[in-house]
Amino acid sequence: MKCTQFWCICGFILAVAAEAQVVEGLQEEQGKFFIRGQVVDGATGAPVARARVSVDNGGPRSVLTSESGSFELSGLGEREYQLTVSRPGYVDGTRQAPNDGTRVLVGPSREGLVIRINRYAAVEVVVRDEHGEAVPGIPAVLYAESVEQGVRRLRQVRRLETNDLGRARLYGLRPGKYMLGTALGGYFTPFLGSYTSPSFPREGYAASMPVDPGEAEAGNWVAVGYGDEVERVLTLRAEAVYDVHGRLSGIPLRPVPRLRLMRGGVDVGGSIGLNQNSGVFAIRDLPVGEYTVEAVKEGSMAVLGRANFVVSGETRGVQVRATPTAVLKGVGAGVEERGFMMQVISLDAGGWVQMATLGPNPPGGDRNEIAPGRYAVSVNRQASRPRGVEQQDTPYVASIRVSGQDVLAKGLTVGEGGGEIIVEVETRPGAARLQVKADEMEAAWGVVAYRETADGPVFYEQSCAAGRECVMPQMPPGGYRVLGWRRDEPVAYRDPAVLDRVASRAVSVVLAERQTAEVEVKILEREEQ
Amino acid sequence: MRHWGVFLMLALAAPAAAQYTVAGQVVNSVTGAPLARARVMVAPVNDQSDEKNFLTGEDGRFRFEGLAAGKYMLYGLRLGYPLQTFGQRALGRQFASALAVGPKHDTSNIPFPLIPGAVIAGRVTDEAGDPADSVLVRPIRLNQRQTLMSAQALPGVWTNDRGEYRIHTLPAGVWTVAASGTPTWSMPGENVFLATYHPDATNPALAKPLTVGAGETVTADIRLSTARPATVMVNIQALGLASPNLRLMQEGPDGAGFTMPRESYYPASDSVTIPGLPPGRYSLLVGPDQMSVAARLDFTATSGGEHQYTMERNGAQVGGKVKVDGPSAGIRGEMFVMFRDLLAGALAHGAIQADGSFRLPELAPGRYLLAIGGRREAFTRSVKVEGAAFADGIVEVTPKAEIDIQVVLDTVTFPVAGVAASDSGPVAGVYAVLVPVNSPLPMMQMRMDQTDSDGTFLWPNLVSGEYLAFAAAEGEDSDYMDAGVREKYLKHAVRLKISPDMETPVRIPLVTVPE
Repeated sequence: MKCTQFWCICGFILAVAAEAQVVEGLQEEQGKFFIRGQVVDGATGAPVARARVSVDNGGPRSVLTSESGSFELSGLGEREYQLTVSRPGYVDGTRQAPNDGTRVLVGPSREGLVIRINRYAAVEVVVRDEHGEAVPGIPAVLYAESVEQGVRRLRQVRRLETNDLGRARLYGLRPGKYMLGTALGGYFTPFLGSYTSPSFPREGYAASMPVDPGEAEAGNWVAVGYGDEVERVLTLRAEAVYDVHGRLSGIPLRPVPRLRLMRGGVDVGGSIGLNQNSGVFAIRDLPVGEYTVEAVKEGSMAVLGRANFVVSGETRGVQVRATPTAVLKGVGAGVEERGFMMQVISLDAGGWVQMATLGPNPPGGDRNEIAPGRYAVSVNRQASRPRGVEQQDTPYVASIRVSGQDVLAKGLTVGEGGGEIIVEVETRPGAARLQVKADEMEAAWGVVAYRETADGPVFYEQSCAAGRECVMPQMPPGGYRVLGWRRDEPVAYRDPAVLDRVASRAVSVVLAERQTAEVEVKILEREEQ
Repeated sequence: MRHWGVFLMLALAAPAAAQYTVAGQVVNSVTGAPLARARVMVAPVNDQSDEKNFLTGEDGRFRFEGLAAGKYMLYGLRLGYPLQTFGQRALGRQFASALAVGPKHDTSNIPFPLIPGAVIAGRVTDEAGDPADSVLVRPIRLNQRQTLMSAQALPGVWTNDRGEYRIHTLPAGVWTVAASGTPTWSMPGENVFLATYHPDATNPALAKPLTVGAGETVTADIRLSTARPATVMVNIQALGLASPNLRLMQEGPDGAGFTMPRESYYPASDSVTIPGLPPGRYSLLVGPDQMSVAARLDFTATSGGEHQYTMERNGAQVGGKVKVDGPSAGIRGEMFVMFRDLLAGALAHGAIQADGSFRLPELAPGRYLLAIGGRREAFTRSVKVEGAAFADGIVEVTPKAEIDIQVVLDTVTFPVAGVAASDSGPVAGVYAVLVPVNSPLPMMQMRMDQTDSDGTFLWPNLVSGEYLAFAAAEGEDSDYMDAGVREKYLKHAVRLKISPDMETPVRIPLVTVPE
């Protein structure tokens, strides 16, 4: 499939382009305008019957398409409508794959609107043991590579237990590349199940689970396009499994932390039983390998403690001692009084994004715990404009420093041993405004603006709604390079190789204090990344 | 979790008399084919922690040596077969047969059949014939015989985008399947699927029974009907509950009541709105906690209907006294009186105080099964109920009734051992049933066991008296809780005068009743 074609049919591209034009001050006149159109299959062009076409803004209203795929939405007022189309079997047609929708400006009525929808892909996983027998009740998992805050990570997109035939149908997939695996868990032991036996070791399946995208077996990746139906057989080998016992120490047990089992930086979803009073935990049925267990604060991504351990044939239960983590404390004008939020993005544990609330009264008694490791830091929300401060004096974050180092550019390294990490936030009045328009804004999109410093680039990211231009209101003055991308194809810009490749597509802009600058970017195509 | 130390000590302390062998072959109970890679575990009946296990090879054979004489439980497990006990008559049954090991028993070649699960699979479509995605399909066990147990709905599975579902590892039996959900193409609150039974019945009484045997797969497609959802608003202020729990049950398929659980609510105010209900008959159970039911509202939701109800206090006050006679007389440990709602399965508990008195939370009108908990060794001597109709453990609670219950338990009890035999000798794996003669409480006083490999069984906690006894090979244990079922067997039963000094084992006949 050619890329140009690929993008033509991706999502909802209207045959009739809607000129974005904001009409203000007009009263809605019921019954005056209509939208007439047809829903067709993106691959065959055939009409799609019984597709639901809805407008949601201004009250839900929807119709089903006729046998010829046609629909009419009438009684519309003079304004912009958000249109969604759903049809079982199609991308955006299931609850598993919600859509971004499309926008139509009404007034006058619109006729001859053609909406293309595309069948989603499905992967049928068959899990067998080494004797070729179906393995029931084991979770089959699809992971997709995703990018958050410019960092790549593997994200679980589908998970379903196999049935008695060892089959699991994972569907509603957008085109892309997925990694196939099975998860660890209580259903893991082939011969003993949940039955507790003193016999040792037991036998379990060494899951075909993704470790590192680079290290993963080539056979575990599956690429699908629209409408593809793919069957993949996963063969598991039985081998000895062991129970691991541990205890959390130095970690508050209220609220009860969640325990996360990881291998190669990926959450493998093992079932971990935790005694909420003693902090003693048990992980059942682990095959030989290297693991990390993390205690995560429920409701936030804060890692309260982490311990690495190895399960080997010699091991008959490992004492895992999690150590307390460091605590971030923000200082600086405006931080102590009004609070400040920044994001720390784990660079060595699968790209988990963690929000740190620095300030006088963090919500939920948040202590901003942070585990040892390397992090990228980005400004999530700058200090709000203080009362009585004029618009032109809107503050911006000039720097975030830890031990005198600029962490926005150089990142943050948290060592072992806990303690308090003082985050010095410097804000200055007179933020610049960056207004970004893209060449094509039908789907949800995003902007990254970065400025080069002696210590490396500093990134500012903004997610943008479909059809709208993006505003970044609290930018520090200076020279920037600006990139646009589709929200479902974000850029791994924190990877220097990726940034090198896409830098030529960036638009340069210089932001002056208290001024608004406008730029127009071209949305990055997939092959450009 | 078991302790390694204890396990090792037991292993070292194994007596010199350990000279017997248990060996056999694991086979598929339906096809008889040997099962490779099956795990077999053996443990003495009186010490389940002293367990040995064996993984079968290609021939399915297993072998345990050096066992002392005695009775053993045998467990089996294999990929595709749930954990089961030797002698278990079907999946999900509570009785099994122990294996007698010793000089009189040949245990060198025992067939150990593992029972495969039954499967119900099918496709769910909407009125247009399109597959219905993300619809919950629940299997409901229908009873072959009229018993106390009403139809049970098990946790369901969701259909995939092809409308396909597959429910596996079910016990063999008579089932039906019900689908419920919301069309994926519907706007919220606009359409809802009626609870629909295979093949297309929206009236639960018309659910088609599916007979499925062990290892069999039955196809059951469901064609859904769409309706407009109803909204129900309920005011529960009059109930005066501090933190009320509401459970909504939908009418089930066997005519026995509201057996299909839908949802639970923990409302923050006295007014509860339940949107998106498919039309049908419901019962709303309201109680002070998740277990008890203080009030019940039965209602019919209509297509697109908006229904408003105000619930009134109409529950019954239930209290009384429990007296314990015998050597360990008096109230000891944690004892309680339990009422089980026979329509919706709800439970109400009342703790028995030191003086034997108890009081239950306010109880909604309905039919309940009475049980006394916390004294397993006791025999229920008598139950007197005032203010409600009572027969053999079942209490009919009417609105605003004031019910007094007087119970006498006896702890002068003893077990009776026996053996079930047919003309050709002892029979293994059958039910041994003992029913008191001329008792107003046959169900509360009856005893049951399943015979072991040598035909022996044990009835616990009995008192002296006249009883009728029989052995039966049909059905499942809960069937014999039903007087109508028992009656057919009792005609051929043996009359026993039970006393502590009677000669044991007692011999009881195997009775076969033609269907």
